[in-house]
Amino acid sequence: MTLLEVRNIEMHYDQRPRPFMFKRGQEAPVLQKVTFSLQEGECLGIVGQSGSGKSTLGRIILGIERPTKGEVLFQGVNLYETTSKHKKIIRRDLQTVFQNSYHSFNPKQTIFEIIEEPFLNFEHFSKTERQHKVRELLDCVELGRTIDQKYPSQLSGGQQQRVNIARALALNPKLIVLDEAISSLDMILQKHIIQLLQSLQKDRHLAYIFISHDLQATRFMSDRILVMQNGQLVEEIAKDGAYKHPASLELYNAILPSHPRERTMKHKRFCNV
Amino acid sequence: MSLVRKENVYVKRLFSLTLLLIIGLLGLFAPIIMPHDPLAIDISKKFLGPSLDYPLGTDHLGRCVWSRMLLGIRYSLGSALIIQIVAILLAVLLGAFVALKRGLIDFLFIRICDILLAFPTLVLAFGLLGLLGPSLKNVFIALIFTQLVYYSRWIRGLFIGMNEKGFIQAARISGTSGIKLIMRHYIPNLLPPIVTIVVLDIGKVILEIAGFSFIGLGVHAPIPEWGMMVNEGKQYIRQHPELMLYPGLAIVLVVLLLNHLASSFKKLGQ
Ligand SMILES: Nc1ncnc2c1ncn2[C@@H]1O[C@H](COP(=O)(O)OP(=O)(O)OP(=O)(O)O)[C@@H](O)[C@H]1O
Ligand SMILES: [Mg+2]
Repeated sequence: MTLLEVRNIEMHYDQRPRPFMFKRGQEAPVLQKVTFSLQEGECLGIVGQSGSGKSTLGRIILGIERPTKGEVLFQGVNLYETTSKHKKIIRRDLQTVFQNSYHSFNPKQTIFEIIEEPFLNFEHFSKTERQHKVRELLDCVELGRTIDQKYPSQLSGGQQQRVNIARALALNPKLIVLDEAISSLDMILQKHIIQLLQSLQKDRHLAYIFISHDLQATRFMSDRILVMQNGQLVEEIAKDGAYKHPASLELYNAILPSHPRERTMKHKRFCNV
Repeated sequence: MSLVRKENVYVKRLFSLTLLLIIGLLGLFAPIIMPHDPLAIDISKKFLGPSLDYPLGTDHLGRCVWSRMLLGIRYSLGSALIIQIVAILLAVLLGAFVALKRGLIDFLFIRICDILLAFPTLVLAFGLLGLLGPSLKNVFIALIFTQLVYYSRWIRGLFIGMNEKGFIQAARISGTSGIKLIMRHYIPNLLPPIVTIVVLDIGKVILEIAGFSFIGLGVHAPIPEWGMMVNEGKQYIRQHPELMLYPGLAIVLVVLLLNHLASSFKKLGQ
């Protein structure tokens, strides 16, 4: 079943009305004609160079930034034309891990308070139940339980990122937008988190939108990859498909192989060259 | 090095905080500890020098100056405190409301504030007092209103600055909204600047209350507000300058302590 449908999204950032004598600045759109859909339980990768509009697209899908044009349908409901009550129901199923993990924490809250927040809003758990749940989630992302009384500034970047992932998992959502969610973790942890995400995907029928500029990880995670360039979707690649568009090739060529000799081999495998 | 400095600021803050607390307690318990009725007139005892019975002597109507000073704490510091607390609470409600609603309400709010803020606050308060007539109640209304205009506009700006923060968006995504969002995320992060300004401005408000009394727009005559006492003492400035000096010095001391306290808050916040 279709979980998410994104239709003809267009996004301009320069929307401030100008005094009548000054012309509105003609900024290039950050997103243009972005259309795709996502099935339940699917993992969709979105790759593209820095500044190509991936995070912006992510925010639009999450319903926190209204696009200039176009619509986002989550389970058939238009995110930007629904009552706030309905939006709250959708909220449960639509979670995210932000790119900048430190900024997505309230510096005055402890890790426990950060992770329990979704429960406070949606469940009627007692304090001990919430403690129990938070511990479970911390275990899930391989963080020690003693971390829960610390403040975000006392954690390393990777630990912060995992707290973020734990918070996103709390409500058992249907879709998680992972914006560079594992890019700041070390390789071993990346692998663990990917395995965790994949097992969750199977158990709970979770769908992901995996935004990254790490082509290898994306390829490993995703069932399908969309390539973005200058705010446009330029190519869609199936799980084992080959890259054709110059933008995709460029991204691919930027991967440094572990040994120079492997480079040509890889080319043959993925790129039809 | 930085640790030592912080320690220093902390000690200094403790100093001004304790002094202010003592003054506050003196005001709170004034009715119990004042030796005489501050309003009791006894012309036969006018202009007495300091004695055990009258620690600061008596004024032109034979009233105990020390008792009047003590009760004056309530009218000066106490009133200013109440005005500030009421103003900031209303301002947070109003500012938060407009900042989260935006749209037409926000636009109108900004225009009205701009018009009102075009006058210096003191002039605005003068105008209001002129309309309402002099009384303690009207001093409250006028000052709360002017502070409210100034604060709510400022708080709206603080809130809008926070709207864009990642953790506000994250909290929204976790399902937090409305009053919970404000109490959990906006207020704790905005508290330091708000407390600093509120404490700092208590001094300003004390001066304004005193100023109104001095020019006869504020409290009525027998009330021992410090500004009023300065006003009453000014007729006898040549023969008995201490009548102006005591309340004047008290105002200066309290305002300086408040400024000091506020600036140490600011340093700690950095
Ligand atoms: N709030 C904003 N106001 C104005 N322009 C913005 C804003 N956010 C993003 N942009 C612009 O939109 C474009 C796309 O930004 P976005 O953050 O979506 O890129 P990205 O693909 O996520 O890049 P990265 O891989 O570095 O995270 C950039 O050119 C950026 O300057
Ligand atoms: Mg990004």
